[in-house]
Amino acid sequence: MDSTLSNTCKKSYLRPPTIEEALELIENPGACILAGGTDLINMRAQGMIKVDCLVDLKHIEGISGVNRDNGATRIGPATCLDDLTSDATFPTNAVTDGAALVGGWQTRSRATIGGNICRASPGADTLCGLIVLAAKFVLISSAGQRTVDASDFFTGPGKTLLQPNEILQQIIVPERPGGSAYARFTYRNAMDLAVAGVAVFMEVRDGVCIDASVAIAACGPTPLLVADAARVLIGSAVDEAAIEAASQAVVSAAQPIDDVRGTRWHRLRVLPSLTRQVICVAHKRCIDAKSEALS
Amino acid sequence: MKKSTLEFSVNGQAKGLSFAHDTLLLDLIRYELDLTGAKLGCGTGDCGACTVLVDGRPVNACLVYAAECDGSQIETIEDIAKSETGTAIVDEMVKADAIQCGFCTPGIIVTAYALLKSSPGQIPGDAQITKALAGNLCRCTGYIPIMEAVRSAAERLVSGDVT
Repeated sequence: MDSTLSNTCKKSYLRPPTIEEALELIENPGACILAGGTDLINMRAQGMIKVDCLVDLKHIEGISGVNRDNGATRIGPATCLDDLTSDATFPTNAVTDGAALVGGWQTRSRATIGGNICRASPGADTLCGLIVLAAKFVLISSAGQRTVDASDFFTGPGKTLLQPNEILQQIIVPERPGGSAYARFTYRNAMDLAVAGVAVFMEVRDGVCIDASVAIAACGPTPLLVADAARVLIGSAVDEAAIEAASQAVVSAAQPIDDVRGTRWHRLRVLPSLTRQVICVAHKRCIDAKSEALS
Repeated sequence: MKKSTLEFSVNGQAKGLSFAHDTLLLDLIRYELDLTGAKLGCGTGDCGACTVLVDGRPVNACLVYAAECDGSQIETIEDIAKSETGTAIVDEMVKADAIQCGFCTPGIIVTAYALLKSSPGQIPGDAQITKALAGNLCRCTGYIPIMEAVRSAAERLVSGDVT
């Protein structure tokens, strides 16, 4: 290791202007990536993580902002949640629903989508949306880039496929017809963490659901994709029976625990109604998008 | 511990200050700059008593490292309260009895100011005010007088009834 780099990394705050410099800096022991900081500062203050050197990614060229090209929406990981929810190129969907629910305005002004992803909380509000929208994450290290599916990325509470020498460089959300939504159950209307969350994507043609995806939050060690729920929706007219069957599939797939935010029993109890509600919103958005496209 | 010298603007004045890399913005504002309007409430980003504006956005100064603000514009309650919009909010807060102990008040005024500045010429609806102020907790008055005050301030600003 470069000894000068190691010295600059002692008890300091660094603001690399390029991703290459950031990749070099994070190789140092004690280096920690800083994005919005809304979780990191708390975790550090509580002694949950030890940080010698903060590597602030927010000033890297192209690391923030939302762009649409080649049939995909490309989101810079340092885009703050408030900007993500107000970006005209990324109309209301399961991810923006989740982003709008995080903390208060002050938190959403700082917290980033990349931070929410890499923190990998099982109850994080944007992750199920990213999974149902079939997002891909571009990870970069000094050895090169690799792309992983959002549905594979989360491996446990706070655990992901991201290696210590890697940085999440971009989030790619493929553009496709259909509608999506996310909602969560909380005891308060705001400033709360999900007791349970559900995201649904669906595409309807001639009244029949031809594609669907369902994922749940705070009901397992990671956000969970519920393939069985999608299976019963696909081919249905999204009628009462299909919605009921999808809700039951969600309950069967959920692996909630008892914790400070809720009991397993209560989580399983709120999941069916939450699932029904989110399916209906996603369905309506899908229909509305179609009539908008026709008008 | 290594100290950094950074440049930023606080209430329109350029400042060059040295501080440790992990100094929080709130500590810098209160202890180095003696701007004690922003309060330390929870220290975990839950209560909003420390709200200041960084580049026009409301943030919890307890959850921002001062070093992150290098090159940024910081606005605190001390300056905001003197502005036309800020004065209108302060006056209406007093009129509506929206203050008891006052600990949350600076944060609430800063967030309300950001809301009114983000939609000039408009009177925000209850849902917008509630959403904007969700991150500012008040344990005394409850929120109804606070919402009234923000609405009245917006009405006064829109109608040009400001001093």
